[in-house]
Amino acid sequence: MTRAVSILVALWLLPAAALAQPAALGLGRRLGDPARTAPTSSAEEEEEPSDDEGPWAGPQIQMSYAYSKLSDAYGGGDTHLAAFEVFVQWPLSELRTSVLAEAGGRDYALGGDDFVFRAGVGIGFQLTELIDPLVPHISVIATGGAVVGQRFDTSVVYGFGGAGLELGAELRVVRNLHLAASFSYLRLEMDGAAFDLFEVRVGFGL
Amino acid sequence: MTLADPANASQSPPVNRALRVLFIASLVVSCAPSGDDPLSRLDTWEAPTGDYRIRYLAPPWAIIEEDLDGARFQIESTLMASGRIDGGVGKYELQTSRVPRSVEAEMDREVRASRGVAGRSIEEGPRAITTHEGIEGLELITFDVPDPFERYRRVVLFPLGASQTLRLDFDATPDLDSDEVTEMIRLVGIGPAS
Repeated sequence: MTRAVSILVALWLLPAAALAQPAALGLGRRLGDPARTAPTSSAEEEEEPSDDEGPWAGPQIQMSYAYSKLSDAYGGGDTHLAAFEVFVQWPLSELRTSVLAEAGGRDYALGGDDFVFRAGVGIGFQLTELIDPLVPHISVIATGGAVVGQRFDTSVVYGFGGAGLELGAELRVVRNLHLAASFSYLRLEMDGAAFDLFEVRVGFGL
Repeated sequence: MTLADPANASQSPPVNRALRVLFIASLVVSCAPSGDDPLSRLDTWEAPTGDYRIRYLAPPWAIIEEDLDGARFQIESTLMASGRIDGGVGKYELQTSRVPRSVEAEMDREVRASRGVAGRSIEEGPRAITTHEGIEGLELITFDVPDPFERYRRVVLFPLGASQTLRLDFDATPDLDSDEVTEMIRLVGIGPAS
């Protein structure tokens, strides 16, 4: 009877001992020195190498939505574009270079919407360390593209080109994932007329 | 500079050429008329007499022929543009002319004539239309049933002075009661150019 009670008590205590073992077993116990205890879990985390250390080198790719008003001279011209931008990484992280492609629609007041495509390159300067994780930038933009639409039920294509300046910033959320916003002014020439284009862009990237 | 001298990038011909092109391009862009002005994108044909002018988007519009009284403008049909037929009626046609009657008398004559044409129905008008310069006129839109194909007609009349009337005869397959055509009519200039 005494033996049976001993077995029951042992079975009851076994799960509790198994649960308690990881906390009780320390590094020294595992190495054969019961006096030494393992570092706490928070200390283990601190010792793990972290790739978040150091300043962020800036964005690599971005996807964004852009709004501008490319006037059609009749009150329309609201332009909504989806943009994709790829950044070239340099050893000097303050140097910011990128290639941009945008496509979307433009409201034409006297008819159906136009299709707009725009490509551009940007060269500028970005502050990667000063107020990390916020990376502001200023870039010079050279751009070109086309407006494809219908005028008097006939397809027309108008090419345009120009240059301008972009101001913006990225806010790093985690690792390379970041939010981005920018504002740019472009002076464009299309079909013999000049256009002042102000574009607002918001997006995210890696 | 000898071959032993280090190259100076700012003096190399390609860089100088690129800077010149950039400078000229910036001048061209800065001197171009603002795209906010509708006239910046339009061509202007002025009557030889100087008393009216047509502002049109080219392309797609093109002048086919002109004389002292007026001109004929056209937008090619798809068949014409693709080269499958040469000549013929365009997708859009505009003939300008001068008639020795008042606007009201000419419109009365036009309405009577339209009612007398078999297969032609009056879609809109006569109704008033005013140019951006404030000149008031009258217009009539009619529709011809297919014979051999459907065509819309839009006749617009503006006073030219001295009992003369400017007559614009639009003729097209697409509906002519559109914002684009209306805007083209409202951009017509009447009187001596300012």
